[in-house]
Amino acid sequence: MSTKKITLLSSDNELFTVDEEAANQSLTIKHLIEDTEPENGVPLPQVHSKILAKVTEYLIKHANEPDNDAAAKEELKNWDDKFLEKVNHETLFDLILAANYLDIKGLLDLTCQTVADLMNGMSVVEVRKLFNIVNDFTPEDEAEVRKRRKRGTKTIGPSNDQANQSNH
Amino acid sequence: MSCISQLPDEVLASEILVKPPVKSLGRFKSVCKAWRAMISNHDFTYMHLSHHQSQSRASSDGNKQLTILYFAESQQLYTMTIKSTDETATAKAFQCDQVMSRVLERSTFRLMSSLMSRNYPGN
Repeated sequence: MSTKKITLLSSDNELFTVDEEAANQSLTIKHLIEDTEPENGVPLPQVHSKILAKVTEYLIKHANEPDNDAAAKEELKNWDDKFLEKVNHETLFDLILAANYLDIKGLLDLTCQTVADLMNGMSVVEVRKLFNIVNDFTPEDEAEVRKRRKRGTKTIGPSNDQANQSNH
Repeated sequence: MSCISQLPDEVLASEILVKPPVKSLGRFKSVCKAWRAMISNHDFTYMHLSHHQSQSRASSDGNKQLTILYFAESQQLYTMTIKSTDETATAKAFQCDQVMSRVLERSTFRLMSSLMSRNYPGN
């Protein structure tokens, strides 16, 4: 069985060739092929070659996902971990944007889970830095939040009366 | 200055912020105003709840597990994980984790009972 090859064209005009089966994991690419039948490669003006290289690496590896083979699944999971191991934060966010634009569910899940795991051990200040966010709370806002948090905890503290009522 | 993040809001909310546990979410509300609004939104609360419920179902420890998230009037988010090794166990036999023992507010309890009767027909 011969597999059709698909050529992808990055924003900086680099060409990447993958099997159609691999390319079709991206719903955006799949629809572009169906709708426009591009002759000179599928143009992806939002994806730079540096990112598209990583994306095609993922697509090729995941083209034949194992269904019931536990060992193969484990191998793929280890590959996924390694795939993002040496990726810096900037590239990780670029991969999320590319996975979202290209509509590749597996890659979007993987990259977003990696960010979520990163965030979990971070302080608020570190999270701001990771997402390039400026703190827009005034000191008054922050004081109000602290006050409200205190009050909130008090309001819904344990109450035996309420628990007993609800139990009936 | 505003909160600038290059990620589209829907990706941030439905792909990233649904994943951390509620305890971390409480902390992330202090990141910026936009995040606070996003995390406090009721639609987000339900999205987070359903994400974690499906995760619980997927967990393979064989125990029945149910995670509840409640948006109290005090604008706080809480989670409660109920575990049971026996489907016919009564409500009292459920082990609530300690974070949640605070949340015995009436309406929460009602929500919990209704979810339990759906998931644990033995009760």
